[in-house]
Amino acid sequence: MNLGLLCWMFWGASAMWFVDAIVEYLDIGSEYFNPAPADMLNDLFLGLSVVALALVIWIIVLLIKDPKGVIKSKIFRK
Amino acid sequence: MACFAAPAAEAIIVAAASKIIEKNENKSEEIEVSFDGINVESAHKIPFSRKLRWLSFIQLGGAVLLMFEHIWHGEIVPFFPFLTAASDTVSLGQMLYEIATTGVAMAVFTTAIWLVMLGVSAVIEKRAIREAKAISKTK
Repeated sequence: MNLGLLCWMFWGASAMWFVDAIVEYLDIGSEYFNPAPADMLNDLFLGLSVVALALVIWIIVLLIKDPKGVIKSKIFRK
Repeated sequence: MACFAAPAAEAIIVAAASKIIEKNENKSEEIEVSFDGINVESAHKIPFSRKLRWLSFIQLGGAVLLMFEHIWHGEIVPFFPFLTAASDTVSLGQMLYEIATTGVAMAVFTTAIWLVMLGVSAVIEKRAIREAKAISKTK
């Protein structure tokens, strides 16, 4: 399933966003924990889109690598 | 603005280094183990080039997803100069400052995570080889 790729991407992104959050907290202080509802909604959609993008990258890599040779066998059978 | 540039650059360097190391790497220590006396399996240490690839995957994966965030916020555009902050000198300076501070902090933090992973992996590998040796002695 090549799930390792997804794991690396989410792991890396989480670590980087964490650093970004710390930097923002140092910049704006406690206001960081009181975001406007519109910003929260925007961040929610952004988060979901990032997960969707990672899944798209993962499926493309999986199709190209074709670890079990499913696509290859389908192509050569016809 | 473009903080993902620092970890992305490190990921590219690390990926190149892992390729070079992989070519010059000696075969890792390998022990043959049989748990049932019939089937023989081999246990070996994970090569360092593969461990380096973990770091490049963490950093490149994170940088790609972070780049998407910058596209979302309109900081990356599909036309020259591609980064909106690069259009004037004042914001260019801010962007370079952000790369040098936040970007470098991201690269350092992901490298620190990787170093912890190396430590955990070394402990697991040593334990597995020690147990495999003990099992093969008793058989």
